[in-house]
Amino acid sequence: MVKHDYIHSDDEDLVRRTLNGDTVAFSEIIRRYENMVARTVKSMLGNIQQSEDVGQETFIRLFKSLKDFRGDSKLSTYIQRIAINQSLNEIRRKKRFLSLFYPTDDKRNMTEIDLEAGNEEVKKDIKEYVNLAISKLEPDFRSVVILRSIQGYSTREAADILEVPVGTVLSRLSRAKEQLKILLKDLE
Amino acid sequence: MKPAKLKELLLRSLSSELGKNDRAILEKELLADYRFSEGFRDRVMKSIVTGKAFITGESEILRSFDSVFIRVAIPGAAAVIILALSLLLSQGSLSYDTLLGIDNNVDGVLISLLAE
Repeated sequence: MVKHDYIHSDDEDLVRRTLNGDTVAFSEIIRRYENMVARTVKSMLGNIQQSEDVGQETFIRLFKSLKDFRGDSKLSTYIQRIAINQSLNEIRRKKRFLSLFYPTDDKRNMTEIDLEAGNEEVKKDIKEYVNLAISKLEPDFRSVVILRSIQGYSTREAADILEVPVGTVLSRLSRAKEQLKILLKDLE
Repeated sequence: MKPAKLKELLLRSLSSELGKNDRAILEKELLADYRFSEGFRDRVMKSIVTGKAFITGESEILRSFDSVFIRVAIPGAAAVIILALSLLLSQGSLSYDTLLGIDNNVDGVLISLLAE
């Protein structure tokens, strides 16, 4: 019997095979999109152990919801949506947990975030410094900046991934821009 | 790349779609090479094949119990400590009767009630 060539199969074929119980096909989907999910999740949460767990949960959710995937959007868009939602859930969960010990004011002024203190070393590495500033954005703003500026999705695609209207993405981008201007004010 | 130029590019990318060259520069400067640790795919497949991934209904309930437990346990423990301290200060001891709020002569009352 001729072995199936999974590497050259398209996403649609892999999805169909997975739904027919072919786990090797799903393994190929993971191989294809594992780095994309790692970039999204780690950009959202930081390079921490929980990111690995959220990454695993993303693929497990994908496996379970694959029967609902109708192919209206690309598989990569569908996976990104799950990864972003899982990351936002993790941020909310962590925030709820931390709020028990450290009550915070959500409407804090962005200038209060001290990006300078103790970050002289970080400032030398411009990539790290800008990524640190992005990580200080509110989660909804962070997700649009990561999708649009770092991963290069269009506004339309970002709206599709986040399942929000284009207008919402534009408004979040505009507010994220204002916050980033403040956070990066010393970057000259 | 100069920090000011990168900042300008980043901010511009938030209000308009960048051209191909600027897009490539921004990605090169900002896209971190994040990867999962070795064996990530095997771990995911293992939890799918062994069925561990499908017990999430139970694990989600446990997780929500965890979150409720933390909310209740910490104030609960604090209340018990404050109560014990206030009893210790007012009664001078922490006997079972004091903790349970039973008066010292309750025993006698119970015995006489039972005797009747």
